[in-house]
Amino acid sequence: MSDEIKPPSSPPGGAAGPGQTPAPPDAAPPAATAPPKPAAPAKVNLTAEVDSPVLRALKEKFPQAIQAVSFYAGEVSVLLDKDSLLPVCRFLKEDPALRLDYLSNLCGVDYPDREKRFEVVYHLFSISLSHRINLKIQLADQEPAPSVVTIWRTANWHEREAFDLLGIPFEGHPDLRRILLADEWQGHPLRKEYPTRGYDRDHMKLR
Amino acid sequence: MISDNIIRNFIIPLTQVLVILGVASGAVAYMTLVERKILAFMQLRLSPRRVGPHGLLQPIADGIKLLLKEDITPDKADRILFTLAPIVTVIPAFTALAVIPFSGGGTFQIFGYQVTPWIADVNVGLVFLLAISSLGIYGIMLGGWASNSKYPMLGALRSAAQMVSYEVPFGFSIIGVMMLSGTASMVGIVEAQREAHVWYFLPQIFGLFVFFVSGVAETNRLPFDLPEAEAELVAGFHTEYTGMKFALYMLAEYTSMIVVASIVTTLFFGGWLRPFPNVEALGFLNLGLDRIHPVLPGYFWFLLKTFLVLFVYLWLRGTFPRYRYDQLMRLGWYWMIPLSIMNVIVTGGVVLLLRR
Amino acid sequence: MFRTEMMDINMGPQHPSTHGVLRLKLLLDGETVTDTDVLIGYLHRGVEKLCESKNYHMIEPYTDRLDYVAAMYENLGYVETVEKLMGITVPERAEYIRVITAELQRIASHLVWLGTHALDIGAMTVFFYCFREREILLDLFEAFCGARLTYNAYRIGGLPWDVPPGWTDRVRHFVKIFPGRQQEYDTLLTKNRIWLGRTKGVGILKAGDAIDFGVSGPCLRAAGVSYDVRKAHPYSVYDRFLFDIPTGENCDTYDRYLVRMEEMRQSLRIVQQALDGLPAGEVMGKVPKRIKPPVGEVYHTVEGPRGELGFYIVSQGEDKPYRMRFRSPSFVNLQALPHMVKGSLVADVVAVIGTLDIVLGDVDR
Repeated sequence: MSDEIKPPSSPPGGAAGPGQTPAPPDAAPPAATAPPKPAAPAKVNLTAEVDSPVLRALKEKFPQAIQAVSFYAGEVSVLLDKDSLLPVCRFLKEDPALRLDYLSNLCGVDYPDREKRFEVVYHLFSISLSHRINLKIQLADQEPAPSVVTIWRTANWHEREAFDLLGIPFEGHPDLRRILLADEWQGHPLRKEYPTRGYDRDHMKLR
Repeated sequence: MISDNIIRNFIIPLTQVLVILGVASGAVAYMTLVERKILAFMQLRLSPRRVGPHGLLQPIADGIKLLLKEDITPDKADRILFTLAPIVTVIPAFTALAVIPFSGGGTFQIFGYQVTPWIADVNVGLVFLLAISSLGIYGIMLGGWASNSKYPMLGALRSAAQMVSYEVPFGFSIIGVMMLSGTASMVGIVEAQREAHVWYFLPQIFGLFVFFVSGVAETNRLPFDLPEAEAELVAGFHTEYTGMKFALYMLAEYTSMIVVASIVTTLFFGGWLRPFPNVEALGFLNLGLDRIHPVLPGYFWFLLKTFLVLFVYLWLRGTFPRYRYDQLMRLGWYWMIPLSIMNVIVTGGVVLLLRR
Repeated sequence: MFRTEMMDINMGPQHPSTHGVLRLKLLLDGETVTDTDVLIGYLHRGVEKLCESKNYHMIEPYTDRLDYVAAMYENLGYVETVEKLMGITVPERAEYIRVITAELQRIASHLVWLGTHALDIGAMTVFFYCFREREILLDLFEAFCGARLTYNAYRIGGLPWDVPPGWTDRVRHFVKIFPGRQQEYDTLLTKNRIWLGRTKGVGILKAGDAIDFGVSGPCLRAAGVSYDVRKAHPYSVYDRFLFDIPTGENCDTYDRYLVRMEEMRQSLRIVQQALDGLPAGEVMGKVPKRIKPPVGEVYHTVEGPRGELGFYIVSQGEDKPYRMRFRSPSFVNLQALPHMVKGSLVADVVAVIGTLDIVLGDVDR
């Protein structure tokens, strides 16, 4: 269910557009005088499969943990079984041939239409070997994700942020509290049902 | 009729005090402007220019602003000490001016009375200065403590530590001068420099260095402005002060600066003496100027030298980063104190050999 | 009866050297920091949420307001991510101009860092010197895109405009005069004993810890890890330029200072090469007016002045991103602060905040 309260076509720059009103989409590329070809990017096959040593190693070591593999623009994303996340991560970090020692990014995505609505994405990178892999797990609402803080300390704040903005609890996190929002904040703004304008904003209306 | 005695012992000193207080306050006010002008020049920016021609009335505007500002005392502060602290700081700063000889060459004749260009020529002038100048720090400590606030508290602790570390080399560094001149009277020291035909910055170069560095530390100026380090402690001991009380702290700081600069001038640069016929080492700079010199009074030379010392103060501020608390201590205990003690020993030895 | 007490002190969000609205809770033993809690979010504007209701063109101005000290990089990372998402190729001239402006932005950002860092440590004059040079750069940016801080300088698929006439000559002039100016900062700081005392051995972050904390950019390189996104997986046309990745050895604040100073020189080198090789031609590629990427998701990183700047966009085939996540280097680097200041003095906390070079708009998003 998409947010009903959100006014996508409201005139004053959307809900909370601060300052400069963004350029309208039609005025953006003045140099693009070419007639609008509808599918310009069709030349490149974005979803082409790529070869990845990490994926091969994963398939070999944890065949039962991999639920799905997807490719996009050269990136490999592996959907993992939630319970095998920690062993997989530990293996990826510690295996001398992979050495994915750098957790570049960790974030949650909300798909309210799915049965398991949350997806937590881990973007891993190896500084010494320069390869990447994206891991994903899926969670139902209120279902705790295993915390990877013990593997990469950087996950601490990322997980706190995912908890704060999406309400994903992380099991085993040393210090799980809100990070960006105030402690007494109600709700989790990045959930799709949370209105962009926020709750309790009636007094902000002009008329 | 007022008796001659009353005039000599009461009215003349009072007038002297008032004149010097007035001049010093004015000098402090304009010192702030000079500081802003010089710093602005060093830092490629404009200084105050709006109030009066070239911003010359800016100190007055600042003074009026500070007088009119709301005087806030924090709720949980110790009210008596909070009010007392700036006064405790400002009084010693001004008191120190009492023994500084601003000019020499004997006395003036005003209405038939002899008036000296200094308030008092005490035979223990230097000791008096040392005693007085270290009192000012109590105001800072009291102010930091009485504010009942954390940043001022840290500032007060720092200033206490700083005082302990720098009072010692401050005292030791002038002993060399006392040994060379054989007196502790400020006037006597200048006279001794005239007779020696050398200013003491040459034989006492280490003493000068230690004295000046400790003096900068005593007056809490950059790079030793730890008690008020604005980047760390917001404003240090005077974080909670506003209006006139804040102005008193500023007044005390700038007065102390002027006092230290005056002492440096008196002890090491020959006070009111003119340079060329006096210091033989500088004779090559003379170029026949000694014919004009007698026209310029001792005041001129004293103020010029003091200003140059003050300029070094500002120059330091424009150049250096701030020391860290422990590094400041280390500098004081590992370098300044040994250096000043060495200076005392070497000077004493040389004086002993020469006298023999 | 004597007893000592720990003092907890609140630093920020209103404090002269927390670079914005950072708030630290410090537990002090005397002046020694025993524990730190970093509280952020005072500048949280919910940009990620806002992006979900804006179309792809409308998002770019929002990216300006994340890291407002290096907005050019936020623009660059964003448009490159969308281009990657859609498989758009950008004309060469546009790529070169992007590299030139982005590298100038790196210099401008490092100048702000140097000025404020030095100011925190008490060297006031450097600040004004740095801002003198930054002013020249901002004038260049203004001539290029009309704005001095929040540029919105690029477009998906290229650039909105070509550079104005005479602009490259002005850049060349800057490239010529800047080394001399940088010499002045060197003179004031590099061998200054107080500066050395304040920065050497302060805020040590070893390579292993830095990687573990996800720290990137100059802070990671000062620990001796030669990781730079521009070399590790070159985006735009960075693979065509010769430049070095400066690294440090001692993992301390002074090395981070040296690394950033050297980065400015290297950026200048890149600008020089890009100016020499600037091709002629269009600056806007063939891009549909309505940006509607296919279903998919990408994570793209660029090397911002503060470190690895990542953009994660999930597209559901609409003209708005389904999920937008900014992996901001300031946010990640700030996490290492409690580790770096443990056991040091209050004055060092200020130095470490300065050396991490955080921008609160980037931390809080």
